[in-house]
Amino acid sequence: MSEKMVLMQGNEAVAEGAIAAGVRFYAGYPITPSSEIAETMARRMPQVGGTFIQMEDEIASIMAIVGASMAGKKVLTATSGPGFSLMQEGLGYACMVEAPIVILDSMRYGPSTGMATKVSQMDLMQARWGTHGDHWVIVLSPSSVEESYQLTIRAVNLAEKYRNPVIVLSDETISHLREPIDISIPPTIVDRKLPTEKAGYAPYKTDESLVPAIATVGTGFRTTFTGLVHGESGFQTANGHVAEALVERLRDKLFNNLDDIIQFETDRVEDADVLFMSFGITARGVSEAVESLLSHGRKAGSLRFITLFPFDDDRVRKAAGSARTVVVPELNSGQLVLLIKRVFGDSRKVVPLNKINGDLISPQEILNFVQEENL
Amino acid sequence: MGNDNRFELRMTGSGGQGLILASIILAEAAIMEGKIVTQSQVYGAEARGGTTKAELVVSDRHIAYPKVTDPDLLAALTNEGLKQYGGGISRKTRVVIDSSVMSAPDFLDEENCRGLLSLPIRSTLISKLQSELGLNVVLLGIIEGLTAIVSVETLRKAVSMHVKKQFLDLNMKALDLGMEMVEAQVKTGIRI
Repeated sequence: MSEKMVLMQGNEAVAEGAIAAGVRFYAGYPITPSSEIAETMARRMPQVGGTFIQMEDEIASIMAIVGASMAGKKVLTATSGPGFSLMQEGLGYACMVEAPIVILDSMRYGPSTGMATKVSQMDLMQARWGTHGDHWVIVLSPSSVEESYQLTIRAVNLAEKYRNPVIVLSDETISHLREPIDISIPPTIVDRKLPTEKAGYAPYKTDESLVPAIATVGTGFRTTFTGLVHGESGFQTANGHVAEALVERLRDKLFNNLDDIIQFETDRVEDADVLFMSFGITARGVSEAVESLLSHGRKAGSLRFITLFPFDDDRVRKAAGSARTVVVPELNSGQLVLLIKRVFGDSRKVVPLNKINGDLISPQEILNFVQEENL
Repeated sequence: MGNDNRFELRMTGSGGQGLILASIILAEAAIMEGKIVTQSQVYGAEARGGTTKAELVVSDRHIAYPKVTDPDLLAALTNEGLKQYGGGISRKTRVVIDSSVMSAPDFLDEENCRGLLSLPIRSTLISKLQSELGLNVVLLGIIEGLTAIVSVETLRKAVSMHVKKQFLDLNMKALDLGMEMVEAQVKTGIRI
């Protein structure tokens, strides 16, 4: 390992990744297991000329980062389940006004206040569908400290590029895990597109990218933002055609770029007859179980979702090879497996493996499951 | 899982004893020697007093599953900790307990662990160094004495990175004390 390796906690890596990506505004309300992100940002923001605000709650936190984002800052907030619930209204607003924001949700055991110090993957569907109405978010899933750093950078870049909220869906274990990482390589930085001409400027007018070049508040352009349906001018309308075009555009600005947004990690998928599909921390138990199965002559493989949403059935089908059996281990009662069943219908045997006691699924438990279920 | 160069350490005790810090110090020492590590912990909502578990995996190669599943070494500084996190040991596990605060548990014998080492850790620290602080560093000394997982010099360096100057001497003595306790035990010929 190189001399540059430093021992870092998952939450610290998120904070340092955000700073490396250019985040200079953090507003949040501490909550286990995300609190070290707020703690780190409180210390680091003043050092890099940024702003840290501890808000009165999570509703205010997300609205503060939306405001700061529209004023030109790259922004982050971090929370966990109960706080993420409070942020849902603001998340929908951010989708509608097209605010580049990054939210980190470190999943703890739910529902409600649940178990604050225990891990789960129970917020998967909340990340996708927590706020009301048809809306589209990007959801990224780190499975290590290193990836917490890298995916936070990527989240900031994707938020800027598509003017869209991006959620980094971490969990208690990764948040508090410490691993050596190398943060010495400067990242690629993406900045949002800004308008240059005041003449004819309309905040929500777009080119073929479908991503508007909205002016930064306070730069002399007229700025109008609303969660109500709006046309190119940014002003509210109840015109059904405008509404339809807006919601379609919010979808298509992401779905026209799935090659750029969607990432999987695959391991020996090609000749696998039993394939594990997982995300986040669970994938690390899978990885060791796959090694063990291979060493016992089983044809096992793994597909890990790095991007969870947008979720594209065709891409998943193509990446999944031809395994007869697909096992979906997750720390909830069965959320990812719903999507996987949708992808494969009756063409494959899709088997859920769920654990909901606040502990991880160990490699041995996966091996036992494979044996018990005769997979 | 069948990986010989993987070392798994579990420490358990009471919040405030510094076991999580001890695992971080050992993790940093291992990184300095080019190893891969994963360090994790379990704790309650209390700031101190609750039962804690700190875990460290050290390996020469990528560590997939980051938690301890088959510990090489289990160190327990409280009875509660041993009760709660003493499961999952095997014949490869060396168990260290602080005999000044707990008696040897009846569920451990020659059949189900590699060896049980009962050392009066806390009382020795108090009598030798007139301190109640540094328990975690004495334990680091014991772990080092038993495993030589990193070089003593590297461990000293890692400890010093986390210790204020005025406490450096105490902590170095605490580290030595831990190593001496193991050495004395070896001389008695007791299987450790």
